[in-house]
Amino acid sequence: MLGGSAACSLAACALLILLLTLGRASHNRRLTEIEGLRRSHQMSMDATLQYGAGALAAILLWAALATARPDGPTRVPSPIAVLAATRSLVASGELGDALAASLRRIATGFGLAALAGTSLGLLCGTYAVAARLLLPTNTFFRYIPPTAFVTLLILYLGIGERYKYTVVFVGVFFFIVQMTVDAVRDIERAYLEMAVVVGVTRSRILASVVVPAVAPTLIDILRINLSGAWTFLVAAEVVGNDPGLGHMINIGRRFGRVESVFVGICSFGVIGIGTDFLLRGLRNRLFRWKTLSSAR
Amino acid sequence: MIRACDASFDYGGRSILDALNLTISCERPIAIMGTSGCGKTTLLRLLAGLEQPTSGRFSIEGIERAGRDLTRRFYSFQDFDAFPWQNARQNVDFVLRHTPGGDAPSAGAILEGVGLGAHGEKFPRELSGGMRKRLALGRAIASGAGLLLLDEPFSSLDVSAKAELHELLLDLCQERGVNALIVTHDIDEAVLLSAEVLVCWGPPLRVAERVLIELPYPRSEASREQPEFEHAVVEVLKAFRRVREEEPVQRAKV
Repeated sequence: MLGGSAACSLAACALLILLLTLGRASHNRRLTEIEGLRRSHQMSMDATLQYGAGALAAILLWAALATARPDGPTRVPSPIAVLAATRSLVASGELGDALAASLRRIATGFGLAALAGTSLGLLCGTYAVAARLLLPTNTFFRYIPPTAFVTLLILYLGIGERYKYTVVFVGVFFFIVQMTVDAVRDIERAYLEMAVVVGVTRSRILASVVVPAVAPTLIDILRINLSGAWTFLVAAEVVGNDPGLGHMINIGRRFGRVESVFVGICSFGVIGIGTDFLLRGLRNRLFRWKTLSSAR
Repeated sequence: MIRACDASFDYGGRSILDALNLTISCERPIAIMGTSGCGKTTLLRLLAGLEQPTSGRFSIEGIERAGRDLTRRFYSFQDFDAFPWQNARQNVDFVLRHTPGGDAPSAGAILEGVGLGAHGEKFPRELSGGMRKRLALGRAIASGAGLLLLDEPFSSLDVSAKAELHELLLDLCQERGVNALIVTHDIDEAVLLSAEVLVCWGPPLRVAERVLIELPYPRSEASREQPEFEHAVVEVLKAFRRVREEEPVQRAKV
């Protein structure tokens, strides 16, 4: 019962932090507080505070859950316990090995899918003949749940690295193709015509208009599909006995090491926040024109 | 000389051009005026080669399939002046790179000429409306085209920006011998810039009246103060009134 009341007060703290931040924000009536009307990407003091408050509230809610369910095989380990488990997993090298293996698989599987998927998507989005030849097939595969391929892939490839790369690849490739096609089709017709009018040939239009026009959107497409890639990586890693974050989670569950399950899960989140931040930064740095609002 | 021979164009089951026959002598700029949606933009797009006539032919300077002969004409879009992902200099460079012939001026010189010398590194979205129209003219100059197809080139500009751009275009036409077909809704602008105003009606598009503008050359913004200017404006207004009265059925439809 003691755990129950402590949990309640932690949850109340989280709620209070959120409400206080909201209350403070409600005094700010600037129009730029509407996401779509925001002008700069610079962080104000208030913005930093709000990010901090959101993260703190989330951690407190986690702590509340941990306090409510402290023991037994179905326990929720506290943030501190997970931090401690992380330290020992780092010390033993287990986490490092798992991370390295998983990151290598993502880099290979997702990297190839990104390269092939955007290339094919650019082609199909630009040239009608490519779209007619390839897109229906792509749609057919896009609607097959990638996990449905798992049995088949094990049959053909075994459960080694090639299998894991392939699951990640198959998981995101067809989506990247379609999303790239959609992005290309969204290019203002006038931009393509502006190129045609000054003499850009059909074969050159891909490089001279399509690619620069959709490049920032391509980064967004990859950002979104990167999270999908991790999903399929875990699906691939629960098979076999090679190291990897998915494997670490699975082993943790089997041996009742709930803490390592949490370490594994949190690793995905941390890596995700990191790559998302990097990719968004890259997009805004490389394609400053996209961040300029039209002054019409 | 621009010529349309029995040119027809359908779009979405609607006849925009119906066996249009038209001859425009291209010694001086011509203005095209008419109600919104009467087919003016379609005419420019056909001449630019961006659309193909359903039947009939177009020719520019006697050359058919003018759309393929890209050195002869440059089309400027109503609402799009430049690629947003290239800065002003890159936008002009893009046109220069695709223009055949070696004696073209540099992008820097062209930008200087249209008054954007100090703004070459800015993206179009960082430029004001007037500056963007200057950039559009700079791209037109870079194309080296003898005929500019300008679709409402200076709409939505303030009075002084408009005046400056009129001067630029007049200089371009009078000094470099460039010709222009200008779609506009501004009668003063049409009179100032053109030797003849075509008053159009449609769809299907037809040239209902042709008003010769007897305003002496060389022209500049100061030409507005000449007595012939007022006279010409009144002539165009009268032409519009005659056309409106002759087209009661179409008026009722609108």
